[in-house]
Amino acid sequence: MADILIRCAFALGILTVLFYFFSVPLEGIFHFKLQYLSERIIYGFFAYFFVFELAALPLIFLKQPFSLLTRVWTAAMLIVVIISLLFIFVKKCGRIILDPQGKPFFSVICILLAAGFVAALMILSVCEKYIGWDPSYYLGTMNTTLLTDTMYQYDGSDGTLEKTINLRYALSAFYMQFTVLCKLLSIPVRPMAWFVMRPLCVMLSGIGVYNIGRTVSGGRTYLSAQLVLIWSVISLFWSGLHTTAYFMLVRGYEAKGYCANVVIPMVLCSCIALLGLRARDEKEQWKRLALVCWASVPVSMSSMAIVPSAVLILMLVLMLVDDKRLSNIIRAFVCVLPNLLIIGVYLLSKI
Amino acid sequence: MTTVTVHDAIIYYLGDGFWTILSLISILILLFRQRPSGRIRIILWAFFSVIILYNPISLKVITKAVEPLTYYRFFWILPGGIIITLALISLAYSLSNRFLSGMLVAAFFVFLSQAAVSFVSLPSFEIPSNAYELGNDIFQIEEAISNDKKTDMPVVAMPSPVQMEYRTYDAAVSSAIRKEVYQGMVKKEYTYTGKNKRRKAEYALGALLDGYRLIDSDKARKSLSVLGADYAISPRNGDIYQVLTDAGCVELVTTDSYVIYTCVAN
Repeated sequence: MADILIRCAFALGILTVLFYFFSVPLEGIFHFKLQYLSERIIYGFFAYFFVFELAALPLIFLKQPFSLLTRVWTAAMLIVVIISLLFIFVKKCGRIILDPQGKPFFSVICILLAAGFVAALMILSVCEKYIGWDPSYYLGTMNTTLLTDTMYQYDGSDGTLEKTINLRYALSAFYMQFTVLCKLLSIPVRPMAWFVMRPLCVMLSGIGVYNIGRTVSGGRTYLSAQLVLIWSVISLFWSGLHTTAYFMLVRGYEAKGYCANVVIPMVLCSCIALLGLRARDEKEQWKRLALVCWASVPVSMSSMAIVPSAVLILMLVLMLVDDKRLSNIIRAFVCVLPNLLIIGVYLLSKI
Repeated sequence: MTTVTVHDAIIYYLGDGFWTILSLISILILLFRQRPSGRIRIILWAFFSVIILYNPISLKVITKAVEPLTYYRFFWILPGGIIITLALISLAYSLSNRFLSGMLVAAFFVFLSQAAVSFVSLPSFEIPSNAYELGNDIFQIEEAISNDKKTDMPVVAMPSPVQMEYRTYDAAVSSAIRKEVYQGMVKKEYTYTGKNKRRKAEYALGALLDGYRLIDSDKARKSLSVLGADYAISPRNGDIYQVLTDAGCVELVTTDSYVIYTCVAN
């Protein structure tokens, strides 16, 4: 058991580092203004999944072996890390500002407390034993992928050969990403789900809430940390089958958990900033929103229609309160374009 | 008269409604704490949310176009936990008296602890006993089938609790009964009245293995044959054991809670 747990902890650590490396090209190539570690990890996470989707989708639909995806993704990760290192050393990108803004000592105390609470939530989430038909299908799919070296060609729950690839699941490569990690780090599927996917969901949720705090408080660290602190307590006690807290602590190893707790809060984070409650840099916020939207389906198919709905609401509000109507419409359209295409493909497959 | 705690009130009378009400109050607090321009934006956001998502027409469209059970996910756009927290912090900092602010936050924590004396959101919380978070039964079943199997992918008829867990641990078996059948049984559809032979066999065997309904041994034999089951797993129950052994199944191994049979009917 200890051996598997050590590998799971290593997987969590390596993913966090990879998210940092994936955030560096965002700054170097696309001129994102990412300064704080929390911003780098969360936007690096979205960049990571977006790039993975680009690598995985063609291979899934060409019915290529899973081992090929593992090799392709290993190469892609190495390339991104090398590019990031070049940006870090040549262009001086990737810097992290550690100075807390406003009341430094109080801020550090608040951050430590918030981090402690999120860590406690991560540990609690690991101890949750829930399994239902949905996760049974997803983990069964991951296990079948490792066993048969195929992707989405067998039904995950019963192991029978599928007549066609089920687009409801195959359009998002979320589970294949973690299956690649299973293969690379020799971690069985269930420990990967319990000890990596679910705590990662809790950690990213905490970071997402922290970013929302930074947006609404104008960057004040102690307020953002207090937000995380109280949010983590509320999450623990918020019962109900459909709440975001439930999907984080109980069903955090499902893509839906990431949709409810990472994708949608980050879409809202950009929306809050763009609605001008505390807007700093409009262009930057649109870029961030675009990245989150483009990576939303790679993270979870549940985002397919929810994210465009949120962006549509944002666009309508901006049309009434902002002068730049046409540019806002174009930007919103660019943000949701991949989701619209995927909705189109999905609906066509149902006809 | 029985004493009712806040916890009881929330769980039994209000349920999730309590949080919905708290979220709405929080939105109002945030609304009044905003400048006029901010208020307009929040009101517009709420207005368009109702127009686009939270109305009966959208409900119909979304459930038809996507899937009936996915509509609730659109409520994630209103992240209640974050909204309540923002409102609380906003309210605490608006109070000029630090003591009052502290009291507000403390009262909230006390209220929460009353609201959920146990980890309500963690229904099956338990310290993991192994890295797979699995009970002994699944390990024993896997070992028995692995040692005995004659094909790469044997077909196994399993009760739903085993089926839910088994392939997440070992994918080298195929389930004889599809999950849709067990999901149907949860909705009290224990029998299938259509003409699909396979589906009929799945329902009959699923109902037997999950203990919903006993069937005669002839029907069990036919069902196992139609499904091509190499193995069957049943709870340790004398009646089910009798049906399956009369149907030609031979006991292979008995675990803490289940009996594993090889199916000679196939």
